Amino acid sequence: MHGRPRTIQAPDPARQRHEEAKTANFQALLEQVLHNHRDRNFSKEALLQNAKLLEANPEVYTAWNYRKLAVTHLLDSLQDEAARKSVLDNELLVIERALMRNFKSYGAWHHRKWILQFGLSSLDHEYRLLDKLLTSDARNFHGWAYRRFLAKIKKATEEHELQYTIKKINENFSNYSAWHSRSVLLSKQFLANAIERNTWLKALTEEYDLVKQAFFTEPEDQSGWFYLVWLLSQTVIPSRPLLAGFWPPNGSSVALNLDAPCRTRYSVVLCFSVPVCGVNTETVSVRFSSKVQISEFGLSWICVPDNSNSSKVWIADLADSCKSLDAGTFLTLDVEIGARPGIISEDGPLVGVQQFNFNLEVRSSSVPGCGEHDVLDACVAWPGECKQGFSRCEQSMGTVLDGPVVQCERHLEPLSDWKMETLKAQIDTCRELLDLEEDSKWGMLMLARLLVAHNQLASSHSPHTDEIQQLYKRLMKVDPTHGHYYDEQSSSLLFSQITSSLHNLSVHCWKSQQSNGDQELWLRVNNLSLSKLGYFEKLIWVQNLDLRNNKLHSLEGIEALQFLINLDVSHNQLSSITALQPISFLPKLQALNMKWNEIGSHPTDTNRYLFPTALSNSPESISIKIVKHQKGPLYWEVYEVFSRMRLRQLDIYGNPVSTSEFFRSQLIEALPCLLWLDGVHVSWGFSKLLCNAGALFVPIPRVDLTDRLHSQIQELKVENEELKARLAALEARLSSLESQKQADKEHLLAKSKVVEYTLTASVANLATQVQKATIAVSSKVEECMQECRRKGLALCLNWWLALYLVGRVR
Amino acid sequence: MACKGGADGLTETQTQQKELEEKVKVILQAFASGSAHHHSLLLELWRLEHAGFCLKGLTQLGPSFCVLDANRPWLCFWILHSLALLGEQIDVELGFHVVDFLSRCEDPRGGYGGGPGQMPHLATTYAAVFSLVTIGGDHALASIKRERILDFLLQMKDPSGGFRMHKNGEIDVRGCYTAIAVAHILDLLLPPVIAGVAEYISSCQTHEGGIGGEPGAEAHGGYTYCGLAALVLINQAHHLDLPALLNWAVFRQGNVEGGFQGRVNKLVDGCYSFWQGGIFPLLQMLPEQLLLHGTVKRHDEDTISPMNELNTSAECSRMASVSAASLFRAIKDGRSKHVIYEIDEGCPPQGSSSDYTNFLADYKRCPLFNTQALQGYILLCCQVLEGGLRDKPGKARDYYHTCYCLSGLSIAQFSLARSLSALPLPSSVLGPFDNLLSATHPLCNVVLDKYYDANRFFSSTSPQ
Repeated sequence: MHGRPRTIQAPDPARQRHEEAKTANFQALLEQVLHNHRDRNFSKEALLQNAKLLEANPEVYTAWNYRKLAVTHLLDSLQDEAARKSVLDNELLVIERALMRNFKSYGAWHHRKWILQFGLSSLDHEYRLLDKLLTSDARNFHGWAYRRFLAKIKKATEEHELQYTIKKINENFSNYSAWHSRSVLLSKQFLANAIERNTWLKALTEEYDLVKQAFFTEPEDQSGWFYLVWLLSQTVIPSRPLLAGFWPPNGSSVALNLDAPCRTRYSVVLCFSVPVCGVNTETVSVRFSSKVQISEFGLSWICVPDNSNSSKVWIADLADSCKSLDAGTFLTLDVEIGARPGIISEDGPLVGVQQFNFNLEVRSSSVPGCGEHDVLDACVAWPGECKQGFSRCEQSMGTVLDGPVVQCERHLEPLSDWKMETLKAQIDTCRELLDLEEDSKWGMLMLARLLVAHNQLASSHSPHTDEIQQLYKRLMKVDPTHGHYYDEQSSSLLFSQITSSLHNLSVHCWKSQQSNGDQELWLRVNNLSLSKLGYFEKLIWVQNLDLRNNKLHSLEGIEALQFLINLDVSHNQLSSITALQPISFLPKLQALNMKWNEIGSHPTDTNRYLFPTALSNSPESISIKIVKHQKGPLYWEVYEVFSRMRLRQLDIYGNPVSTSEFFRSQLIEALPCLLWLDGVHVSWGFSKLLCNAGALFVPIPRVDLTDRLHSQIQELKVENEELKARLAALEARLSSLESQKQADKEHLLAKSKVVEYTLTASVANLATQVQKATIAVSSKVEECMQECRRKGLALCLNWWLALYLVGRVR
Repeated sequence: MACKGGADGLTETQTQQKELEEKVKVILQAFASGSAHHHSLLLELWRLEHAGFCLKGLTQLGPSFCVLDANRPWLCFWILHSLALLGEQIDVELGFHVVDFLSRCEDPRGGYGGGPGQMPHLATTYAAVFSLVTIGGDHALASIKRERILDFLLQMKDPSGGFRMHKNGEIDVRGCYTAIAVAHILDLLLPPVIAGVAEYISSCQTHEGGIGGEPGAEAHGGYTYCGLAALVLINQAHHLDLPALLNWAVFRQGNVEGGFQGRVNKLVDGCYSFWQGGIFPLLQMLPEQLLLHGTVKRHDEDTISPMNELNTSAECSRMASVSAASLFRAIKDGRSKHVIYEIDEGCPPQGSSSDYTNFLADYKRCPLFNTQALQGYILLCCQVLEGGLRDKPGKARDYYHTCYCLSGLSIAQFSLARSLSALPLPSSVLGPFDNLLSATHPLCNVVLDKYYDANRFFSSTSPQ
């Protein structure tokens, strides 16, 4: 695909004629060769024509195929070894000439490999040739591939090839092809168990030294750093799937109300560190012990989202399995995961066995103490908007979390001393380098990664968190080209840091005082400029989550929070309804605040989505509804995302799309349970409210609602004022820009006039100067002439005088 | 370490890099010293000139194009796609002419060759099919013989899971991408075509994170795009270590230049604006969990398949003659595709562990490359005044670089939009808003409208 024609500019006619003749020749030759190919004409002359064509253009793959047929044909007719070899040697010669022309020709290299596999050619010759090529173009990947091919045929040892790579690296340590080759060879050596473990560790240590020299010589050179990444991956253990979290907590009690609506039902949730499949009654054993015996408790596991067969989050509905149980039943369930094989991921089977138990009490609705939260008749107050009623949990409250927070032991192989020491040594090396070169971006990035690896392995909790964040901040400053990447990396690190321990979490926990005296626990991960979240496994228990004022574009991963009831994602950068897709998998979600996002700010041709593509699959059911909305634009994503949810409260104010009447009406249609939209009761009709001030005074069922409405109006007014002010500011800016533009224009015009004037002036000036000079010159000439004449006269006079004197003397 | 370096102790590679950086810096300084008006002039995309250059290539080519004689459908594609990105229409007669030419490149047994009479080749088949898609209209689209192309694809299928570029030809990641992209647009992504592709491509991913041309080879921009796009097309991108791929791709963007390099420690090249830049929209659309969780690549036993191709291709064609016919019979009978999956027990549907087709084609995050810097490199350093674009300052223009610089520019302009089909905001387009090109489909690299036309056409046509 990398053919590079060169265009030649304006050739002279003779050359053009020559070129045209050449083209005609080439065309005729190509015709002839293709003809020979069709006729299976393998005559000597035909082969010569073919060779000539390939020499002119090695890219004609059909011609190479023709040669393969011809060679097979010739070899069949020859018995003599020497004769066969000469046929093959001739081929190598043809290929060599073709490669001279273009050594990136796929066809030529492929043909050469094909010839070599007959095993009659001299490999030493090939090595010499290749050496020459790799000296003139050290990065040619065809050349390196050919070298691997030769090594395989010759059965050269890895050691031999490693020697060659070190030679190339010593010639030019920026040659990454050689570094890469080295990594492949070493891996092969290790995997083939060609060397024992201690030798391998020694070899790795030597590699670390080699790479250290490289980046101390030139810290900006990429080769060494990418090689170091590979070395590290060989040192630190790869991630294996393990159980990262579960619900209900170990030893807790769960009261199950069979008659309550869906949202108060309880599920057992399992969260894995990587997507796994194979979670079922076979692999997860759930038992309960009664007085008499131990029996299996059948749970049916489904994954979230339920349209795939592997996921990080698996849930099982308890209510389904408890239908046959009587109210008042009390059970202790023992759950065991990983005892029987079958749970697997891309990386292999689950590591470790995990056990937990919880008590299950089955109730019916007549039993008090459940279902009191069912009716949500008042709006949920968001902690970011309403200061009263919320307070930070005191440090001691950390213990409150003990119950809900799921802590799983990490099943790590104990690190050998060598590995830990290597990691520490590398950290020291990076620090040393950064002392010398303060702004080396590779050094900083590497150090950050090493520290993350160290954090994960360290037994005490995360000693390097602040340093890592500092490093990323500096990286963003030093290397803004890759800033987005650093931003995402540091965001997800920060988030995983927050969720990593009880201590860190408790700082972000708030409690709210409900009107009925209940306390609710809110997790507030707000005002942190996070652009990406990350793992949610440790937060399965969260019911109220505040992500206000970050820089989120997507909510992916949030589907793990199966108990979420209230979610605040206002003041983020969510830009489409489809970005909310993951929350459609949250069955208990009741209130969603997505004020002040950017939904609708990008004009989208929604019709386009209606055709399935590789990346989008719009469900057919939606096309049925299209008919209903002929009049206005159809926001079919609304149905796609919201139709399976049971939201009661939704705040969308501040998004560009929220002003659309069609959007609002389709939202209401898609969400049958919706009661509050932007703080206004759905049944009142928003449009009427806005158009008709009288609507404010229609009888309203409750007094507090009127108050709410008034405050809402007040808020709207304030916002209206703000918007007006912004508009005015923008207009002012526009006019100032315009006037500046005008001024610039005038300035430029004036400037050009000045330039023009100066030019004419200087031209005139020059002209007069030239005139003056001419005059001066002519006057000078005149003067000279006069001088000459005078001198001539004087000379004459002198002559005459002399003659006279001579005469007199005579 | 004994390092042979230049006069100032730099290696040869570093000297070249410094030289290029100097060249780019001169351009950037000239740019920075100008006024605002000056800026928008310099950042203008010279549409008319580029279109003129392209149109000239479609009607007449100089004698120096002999070297491309085995790649004539590619020339058609590069030119037609560049014109389509620029929003230029080609006139009907010329369109007919190209359709006629391409149908003469078609082999009677399926697939398109590099020119009339040449053997069919996967890359030129890709070029020919997507040229016809770019021309659009029933005449052009109906000239593609789907059933024969399926035959050809199956003939090229190798037991290793990859595809041969042509009969007895080499196997590499290009083969996988071109075959899968053609099969995708023609609605031919059937189990025998897909089987083993994911395993083959993931065996080509190197420890750096990028993808090499074949197992054991160094990671390379072109192959990385091809590998990732092919796997996204068949829903199996989870076979790759995506965090590593992202890390590799991010740092291919030059700090000073803004353009992309193809491999570690190589000079930037305008064509990688697409090959590397095109990786990011794909990563923006994949679910987050794939980008969070990485696996460590180990180089498994050499999977380079044996060289006795004559046998294997005979085997493949036998398989083809059985499968293609039966598959089409099934389609003709009106059975839906998943019924065929069940019938064909020889090739079970791939157990895709995370099916992300159900996630919508929305960008799920910000682009992780610097879109402004890339646009700057293309507009300031790659444009040739007489029309056409080039690799880097100091190089000559050509159609290949014109096509992929423009494709990359389109990718960069649309990456800040929120989805495939959303219009970008003026702030995300560098230079005058008039620079905005047509959107290109990030998986197939054809203009979006033409892609949807073709999609409709082929999903509704019954096979010939």
